[in-house]
Amino acid sequence: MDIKEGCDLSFRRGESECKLVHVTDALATMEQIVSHSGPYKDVAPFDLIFIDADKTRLLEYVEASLSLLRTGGLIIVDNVLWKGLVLEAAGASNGSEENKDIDGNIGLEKEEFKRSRRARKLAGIMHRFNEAMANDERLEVMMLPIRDGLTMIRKR
Amino acid sequence: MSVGIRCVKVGAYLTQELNFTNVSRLAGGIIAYDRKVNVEESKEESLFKGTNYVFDGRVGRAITDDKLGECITCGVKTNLISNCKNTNCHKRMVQCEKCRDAYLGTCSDACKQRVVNMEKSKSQGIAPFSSATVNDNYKEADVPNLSNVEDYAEYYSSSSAPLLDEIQKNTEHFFPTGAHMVSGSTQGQFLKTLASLTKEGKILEVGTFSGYATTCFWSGINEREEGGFVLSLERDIRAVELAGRHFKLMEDYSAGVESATEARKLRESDFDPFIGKPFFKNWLESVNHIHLTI
Repeated sequence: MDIKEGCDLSFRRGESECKLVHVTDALATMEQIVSHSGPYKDVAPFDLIFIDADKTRLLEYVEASLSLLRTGGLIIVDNVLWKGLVLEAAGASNGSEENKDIDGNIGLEKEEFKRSRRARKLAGIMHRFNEAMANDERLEVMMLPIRDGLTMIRKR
Repeated sequence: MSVGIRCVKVGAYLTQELNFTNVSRLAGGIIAYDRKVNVEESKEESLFKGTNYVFDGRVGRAITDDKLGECITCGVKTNLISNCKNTNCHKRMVQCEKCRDAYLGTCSDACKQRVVNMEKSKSQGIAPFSSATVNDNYKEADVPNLSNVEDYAEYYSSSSAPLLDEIQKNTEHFFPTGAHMVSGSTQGQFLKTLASLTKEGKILEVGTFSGYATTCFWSGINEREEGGFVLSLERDIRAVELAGRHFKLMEDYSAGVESATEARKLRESDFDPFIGKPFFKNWLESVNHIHLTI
């Protein structure tokens, strides 16, 4: 197996093929497929696109995916609940203070919050992404609270 | 290019590993040497040839005019160093002036296309979606406590393929901070089922990581009479190292006990996706090369 920068590995099993590609920017590769250029110009459309990449660019991945999907195809986005932290993110953006729990565990939670500032920041990004999906009239969105949250998106 | 910033390490390597005794370091480093040779105009001919890599906007400073690098695009000799203009790639590279123009300062067709598309959407005033621009790789502290309901659901579902369990364990072993990122058994089965129900079995995965979800999709399309195709894209070369090995096992043995046994051996072998990665390995080789040609 020749694993190096930019490698393109192909594996077969029965009638199926699995291709693993090292990319510098997945979005660039996706846009290349959209414009029917580059090494994978003829692979679209896809039945299913699974997005488990850089959480800060999810909107762009979804936008590119919409052009790569067959009619009736599905986009699935992973980690949309961000370990449940999206709840706090939603609370913060609504200005509510739901997080003060009755057991008086606020201090402990604050500690936790400080430790995971980065996680909270990403939870905020994830929450805004979820909002954008739900408000996009082009899309039919179904969020499944399994594991870390999966959102299934279909073009209307 | 300079190995100046690593010279302490190289020095130690030469004396401790290669048993050199007469090793010394250049006072003030290459920067001071450059000043002496070029700025103070001494008559000495520079022993340093080519361009010195520097950590500021200049990227490289030409100490002599020798063109010692090879253009990443066309292979012609050049001394120009730059970063790929696709900001999300930003790869450091040696590229000649001609190719820099032709590729708009990017490293590949894909990155060029990306830059062109960015410009297009800007000029048309379309900003379809713009995500926040946090670029760090995310690192998570702790795996969350799975709720009992999840455990219950997993317990009363069919168990996943043996290979998947080993992929999960390999992920925990080789990427301890990212171990929670694998899909897990219940979700994995769900993804597999979805893949098996698709119209043509064509799947794109953005972010392979250790190959857990990919293997689920692949198993799913294998249940279709006509088979299918999974294209999986990954940015981290270390993840490609690990996932590639998992896929090879899937190819050779499918996802059963036999491939699981082989997958377990990865943890017991001296395989390590972190060591021997291009930068570190090539660098050591170049050090050995210096020692051989002096």
